This record gives sequence, structure tokens and C-alpha cells, in this order.
Amino acid sequence: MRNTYRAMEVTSPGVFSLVERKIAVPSAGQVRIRVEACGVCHSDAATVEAQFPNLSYPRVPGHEVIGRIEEVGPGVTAWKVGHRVGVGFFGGEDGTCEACRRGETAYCANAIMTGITTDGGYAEVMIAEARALALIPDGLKSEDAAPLVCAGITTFNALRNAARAGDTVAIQGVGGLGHLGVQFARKMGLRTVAIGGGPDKEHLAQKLGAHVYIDAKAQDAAAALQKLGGADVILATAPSGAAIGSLLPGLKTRGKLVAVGVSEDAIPVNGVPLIFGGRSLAGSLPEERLRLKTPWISAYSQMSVQ
Amino acid sequence: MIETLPLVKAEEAYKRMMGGNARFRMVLTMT
Repeated sequence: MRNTYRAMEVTSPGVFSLVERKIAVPSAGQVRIRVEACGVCHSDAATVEAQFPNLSYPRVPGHEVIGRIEEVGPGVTAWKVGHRVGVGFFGGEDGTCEACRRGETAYCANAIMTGITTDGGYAEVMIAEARALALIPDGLKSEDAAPLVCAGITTFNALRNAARAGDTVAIQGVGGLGHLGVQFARKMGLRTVAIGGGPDKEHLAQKLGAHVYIDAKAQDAAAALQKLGGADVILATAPSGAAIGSLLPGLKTRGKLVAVGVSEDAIPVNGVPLIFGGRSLAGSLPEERLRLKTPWISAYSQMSVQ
Repeated sequence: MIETLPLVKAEEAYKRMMGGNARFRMVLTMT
């Protein structure tokens, strides 16, 4: 076996460089993974464009990593060489901050962020914390599994936490997150509305399971939602704060606008529909973070989401 | 639904994604 591996580093903002690196031995609590696939996420811009403060270069981006464990570090008991695992954005909690002590490790104040604070999956080999791994079930190809450990878990958890079967749910954006959101929403028994910018996504949205398609360029999406009776939940996936804010009046009273797509611009909120409808705007992280045997990955397979 | 590109084309994959042109998720493969 070669004692080096190829990695795609970002050496300074916007500059990629293919390098050969020496294979390292995993430390206590870590594993070394032979990467098979890594998804490319909009949040990789944090690394590539230096959006994350105090980022140190060179850094290997990538937090939708699927691979096989090829060496386990001291003290790792749950994992063995040969296990196929996934690593997401959340690379491990510190276990001691206030959020961790409340049991909300997803909000750890000092979390390892894969591809930002440590090297990620744009590489043939990666070191990961054993406590942040998820087992990938057989029958799911690595390249298909990769987007699940970030985009998949993000949309799945946001919908699961905010909506109940029978609710009217609008998915804003039919892209990298939204195409999964639409499929999950339909399979969860939700009345599914897809909101896209232009007529070209309509056929696709319906193929993915949307009952209704709203072209936000051709009409006021919030008004169109109200014509349908209003949305119980809107899942905002497209990275535009202005577009997200404009959807708030499309909610039913007490409805919830859940943002999962990170936008550079601020999200403007009109206080009238917010207050007088008891509506809310919330962010969502995958609170049920990746676990040893993550039920949602199996659910995902069984739901035949593509 | 994914599009795959090899690791060496990471920059191209990243630019496709940032440009909103990925259909619908870009995935890098290592083999």
C-alpha cells in the first residue's frame, strides 16, 4: 500500500491544489477512513472562500464523506476495520461546554467542523473522530449515500421536527437541498408544495412528488400559498435571505418558516404577519446528529428517495 | 440525484454547485 494519498487542498481563498500527503496514524478516539465518495455542499464555501473566521490554510474541504475504516486509533471500540461509515459537517462535540452538558451536542460551542476546523473528504484518506461516525447500510452506493450525511439529514430532520402527516408543507428551492426535501415531504404524508424560480423546475418537482408547484418568478409565492390555505411549514433551502423573508406571509397562523439554506444576505422579516399570525422563523440543524446506526439513513433507503 | 466527478475535478464540481448548475448534488469519487 502506498504511504501517501492524494488530497485537494484549498491553499488560499479560491485556490485549489492537488497534493500528495503522507498517511497519518489515527490518534486516540479516531479512525482513518479510505474515502470512497464526498459530496460538494454549498457550505464548503466557508472553507474555499474563507467565510469562516480564523480559518487556517491549507485546508481540505468536504463534509459529506463516505468511506471504509482502514485503521482504528486507541480506545475505539465501536468500530472495526472494514466498516463503511459516513462523516458529516458535525465532526465531534467537546462534551464539556454548556450545550453538551444540556445534552444538545449538535450545538456544541467548540464542535469539530469537518473540512473547516479539520481536513475533510476532498481526499482519498481522512482522519475522523469515531464518535461522529454513522454506519452506512449495505445496498446504498457510497456516492448516493454522500449527500445524505449533510443535505439528507438536514432536510429530513427539519421536516420531521416541524411537520406532521397531513400538514401543508412548502419547500422553497428545488436544488441540492430542496430536491431531497420535496421527496421526503411527499413520503412523510405531507401535502407538498414546491416553490421554484421559473417554469423549468415544475416537471421535475412534480416527478419528485410535489402536489403543487409555485413559480416564484411568475407570481407572489406567499399569496399563492395563501390561496392554497396557507402552509403549516415552509422549508427554505435556497440561499437567498430576501426570498426566504418574503415567504413568511404564506404561512398559516402559528405556522413555521424553517431556514436550512445559509444565505449571505440578511433575512428581512415583516413584523405584522409575524406577530399577528403568531408565526415564527427558525433555523434548523440536524439535531439528531449522525449516530452509530442512524435510523434515518435506513428510512431514507426504504423511502427510495433519490 | 447526483452528478459525479473524480477528485481531481473538485474545483469544477465546486464551481458547478456554486453556480447553481448541479443536478442536484455534486459528488466526488476517489477511484
